[in-house]
Amino acid sequence: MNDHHSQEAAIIAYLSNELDEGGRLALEFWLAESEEHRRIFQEAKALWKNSGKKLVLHHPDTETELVRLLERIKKEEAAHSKNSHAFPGRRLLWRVAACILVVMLSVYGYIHLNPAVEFERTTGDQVASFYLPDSSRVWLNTHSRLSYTKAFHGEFRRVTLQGEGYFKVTPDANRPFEVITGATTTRVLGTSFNVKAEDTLTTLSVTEGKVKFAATGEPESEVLVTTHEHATFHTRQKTVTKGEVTDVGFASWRKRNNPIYEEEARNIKAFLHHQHTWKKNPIRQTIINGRIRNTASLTTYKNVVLLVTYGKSADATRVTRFTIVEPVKPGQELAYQRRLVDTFTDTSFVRIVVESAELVLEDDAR
Amino acid sequence: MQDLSEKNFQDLFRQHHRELCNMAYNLVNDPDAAKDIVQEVFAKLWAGRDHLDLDGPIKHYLFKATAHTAYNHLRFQKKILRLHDHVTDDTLHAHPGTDRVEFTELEHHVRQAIDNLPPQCKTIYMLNRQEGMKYQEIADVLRLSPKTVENQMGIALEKLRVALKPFITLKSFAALALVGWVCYYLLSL
Repeated sequence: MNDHHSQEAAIIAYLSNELDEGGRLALEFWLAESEEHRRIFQEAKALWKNSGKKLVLHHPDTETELVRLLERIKKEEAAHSKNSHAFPGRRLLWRVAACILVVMLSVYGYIHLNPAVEFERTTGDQVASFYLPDSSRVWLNTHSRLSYTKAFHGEFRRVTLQGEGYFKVTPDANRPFEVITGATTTRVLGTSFNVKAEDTLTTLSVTEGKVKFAATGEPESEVLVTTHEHATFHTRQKTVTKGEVTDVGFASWRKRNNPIYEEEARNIKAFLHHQHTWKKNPIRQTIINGRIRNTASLTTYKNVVLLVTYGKSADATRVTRFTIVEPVKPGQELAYQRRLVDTFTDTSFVRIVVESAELVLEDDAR
Repeated sequence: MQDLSEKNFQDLFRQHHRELCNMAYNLVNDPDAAKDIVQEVFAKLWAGRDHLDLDGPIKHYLFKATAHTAYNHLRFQKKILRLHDHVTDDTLHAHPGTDRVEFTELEHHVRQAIDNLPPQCKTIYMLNRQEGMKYQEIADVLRLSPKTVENQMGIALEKLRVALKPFITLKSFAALALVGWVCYYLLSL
């Protein structure tokens, strides 16, 4: 094949008169070898002969082209002199653009590629409360930070806390819930507790249930803290100590600086829901079975005043009020039964609305 | 000639424009591109007029520069040109002008085959065949080794032969048949 190539090269070199004496002899020898060789040579010759004609450009438009050329040269020279002035500025611009691009890329990379943080919540001057993906509820004190990674969805529900947080953990026996502070690990299955991480002191206070509390990475320091107990870890002494909760209001911070709580205190009717049924008993008294549900997150209400409107028809109504003294805790539902003094009335409707309520102000950790 | 005033420059342009255009046109087969190539050559000449260092007539420089620029054009415009292969047809038949070069059918096919060669191959072949440049000169212009030029010429021939087989073999068969018939006739006498 290679030989074949060089043979073609020799033929064409011969045709273009580039072949020296030796080459020419070799070619003639090759031609004498076979009919096939001579045929190839004839083909080449035909090709050579038929490829000599040149295309001719009929209208080179020399003068037009000259004008175009001179214009182009003028433009290029102008651009060149301008460029030499503009060059340093433009270069600086490019550098700035490159820097911005790098910063943006790294920020993007940090946010999107950093596998560490999936969720992060930092509070300023107001308490925040929110739910975690497992329906656990968290209150985050002011100037605190809570974050978790994708690992939260794995074997442990693990969150990292700076500052103070109150956790109401949804029970899940298979996936312990862990709160990591700088120095301690708190592990639970499903309870309510408060973790407060200060500079050197981390305090755990338990509202309800059992909580395991340990210095991070030292399982032997683990203590079991139960309802109304608290435990502390001091980074200087590196010891975990346990005791009864002395400060009953350890979780009351949730009500300070908390716009949600303020709303709950101000707009009571929005958080107290009421429903009832009624019927006449054998002595024609109207028996009302009602339920009051407290949908607030923190506030306990008491002395709920219900405004009852009843009567035979729309233009013959009577009004009375019930006061439900018992406290209604957040998320709780309270059932009551009352009767109306309407033995002599053909009551055809009973309407009840929440008129007012009082807040339970004393700190209630539960 | 080394002192290139604007007047000289314009004369130079008028003097060589036509043949340079023709040469570029032959290589790239596109009238507008050919004109642009020549513009390019002269613009560069003007831009570099202060550093001009020629070891021969300026005409040679212009030829070489045009050849090289056309070669570059072929290399980088290759894909675009491929889409316009039929251009050959148009340019050969669309304007049957008075001084139009008439192509025989075979020449026309050869021309098409040449246009389909790879850019380097085509440029080398055309420069050699049509501009009559020596291998060494082509090597200088395209900055290749003479050996490469020689090889490329061989490759060009081979590719052309393959592409044009139907047209040239028919002819040679006819010639062979003629020869055979003559021999037969002589023998039978």
